[in-house]
Amino acid sequence: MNGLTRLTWHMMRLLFLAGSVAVVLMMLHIGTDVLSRSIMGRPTVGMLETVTNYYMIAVCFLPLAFVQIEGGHLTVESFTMALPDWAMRVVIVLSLLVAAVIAGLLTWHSAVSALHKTHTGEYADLSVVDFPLWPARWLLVAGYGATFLTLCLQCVLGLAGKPLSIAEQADG
Amino acid sequence: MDNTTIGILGVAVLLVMMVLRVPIGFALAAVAFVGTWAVRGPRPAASILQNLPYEFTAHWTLTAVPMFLLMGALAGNSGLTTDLFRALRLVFGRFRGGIAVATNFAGAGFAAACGSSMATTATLGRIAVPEMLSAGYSPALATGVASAVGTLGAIIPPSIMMIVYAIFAEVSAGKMLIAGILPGLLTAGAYALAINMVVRARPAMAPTLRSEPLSGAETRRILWRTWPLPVLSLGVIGGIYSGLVSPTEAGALGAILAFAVTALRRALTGKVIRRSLYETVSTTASILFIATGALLFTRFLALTGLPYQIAGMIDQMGTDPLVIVLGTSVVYLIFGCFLDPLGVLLLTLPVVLPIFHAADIDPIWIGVIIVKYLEIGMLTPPLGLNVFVMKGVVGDRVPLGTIFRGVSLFLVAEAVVMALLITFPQIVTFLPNLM
Repeated sequence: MNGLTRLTWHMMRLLFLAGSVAVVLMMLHIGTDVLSRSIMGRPTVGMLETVTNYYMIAVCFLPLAFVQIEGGHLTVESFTMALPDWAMRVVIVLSLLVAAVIAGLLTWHSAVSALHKTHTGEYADLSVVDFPLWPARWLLVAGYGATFLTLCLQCVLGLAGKPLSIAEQADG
Repeated sequence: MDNTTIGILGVAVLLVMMVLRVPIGFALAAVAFVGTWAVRGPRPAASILQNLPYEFTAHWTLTAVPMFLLMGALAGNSGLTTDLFRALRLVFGRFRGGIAVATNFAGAGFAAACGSSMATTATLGRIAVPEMLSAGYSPALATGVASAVGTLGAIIPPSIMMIVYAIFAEVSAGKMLIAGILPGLLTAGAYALAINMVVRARPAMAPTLRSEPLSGAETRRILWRTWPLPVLSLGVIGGIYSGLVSPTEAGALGAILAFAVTALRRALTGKVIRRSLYETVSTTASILFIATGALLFTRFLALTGLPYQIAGMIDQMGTDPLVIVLGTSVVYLIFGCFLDPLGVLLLTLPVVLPIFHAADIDPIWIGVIIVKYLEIGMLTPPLGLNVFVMKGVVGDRVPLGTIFRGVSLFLVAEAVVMALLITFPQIVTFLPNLM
């Protein structure tokens, strides 16, 4: 189990890093476009499509699993703080199960959609070229899928009575 | 079961799931999926999961969120707040309560580079509070001002909350950001006035300092170090106001500028970059995840017709808009007791926006009012997030009760500001109407 949690941690961190790279690219790409517009009087081709469909999707979805590992998803804690340890554990495992089911549904349905867009070859018409959009759909599937796997692992850890924190286990 | 009942049940199940620690983004998506299934059947339910998250996120205005977060994170991690505080202390240090006033305006100034409230509070708590304490200021005043001024981060542009509101309310993000300027300045002014009045009435709270005289060269050096801030804020605000760049482009340029400035100040270390990127990416992902859930939930509620029924009911009763505005303050006060402000915003908008629309309330004005309510909620017990951030920074030196007592002075100032904003909506709408 320990090897698996460590592997998960490293993989999700890699996805998170990919999100960080997307932020930097987004900044540089928009900056180049503004510069090109003000100096040469015309915008670059396909900036808007790349920024919104690729960078933005990568920043928002690829890091989701690592955010889950780090406990960064917004949760209301005030009502359950006073619960005894065993009850708290039941509540946490149940909430992880609910989250896992939803993440699974999101993964499945975004994959169905991505498959459809891949078959039809979704693209944006930029008059000079046809800019393919369908690969971006798979970034979403990757982000949701990674979150689903992380939540499943956390559920298993919880049911097996092990500590839930993947980060700590990866360190140890 | 009729649709309205399903809507009410959906809201109830959502609240129960949240109380039982299901992360809010997941809870919203779960209720939206099952609810849509119940109202319209399996195919529409599958369809919202298939397309909405992607279409919502691949949105030009939303890209302003990571860009402004990056700019603020860089400005904060590179020590800009510290420099600003030092410079302002030079300016105001001679007056009674001067360090508190300097803290206040340092917070307001940093808010012009940063869209988040808690970052400002944490930084000022580390640098300004120890200085005020060692100068013999009352701990309540010292921690109170540093906690309260953090709230300006979400009012003075750039502001993440204003952008998110603008997208859900379908108003111009540029106008929404500009609308925050005057209310933000008004709040900073009211805080300074409150400090001045309280230290006049009770001089023991803030002894005057005999400040060590600095050489002219030293003074100039300290003042000079704050140059990036006017450059950043005027660049961003000026760009948006003049319409030369969209908020997203302003954010990207601001982030590039913040990188350049940090490099020029020789503060661009690997640690600063890593930290800033980490904060930016994790905050963006978690905000957008909840926003996606909120969007799904909005669609579900719209299918049930519940928000329109409530809006129609309030409209039929001929409710005065003022009553609606004051009524919402109660709603936000309650939600603010157990939830982070952005969560409250996304959770309540699906229900309150149709009400405002039916009552013909200006969406930009009410947006600023709501953001103010949410920020005031960061100062009030039981869950005053800024106060807890401050407590985390000062540790055992100042008890929690003392910080809440210190904040109460600024809550009085906030009450005056809110009364002004509600009585004279022009304070909010004047600048955006000029655009």
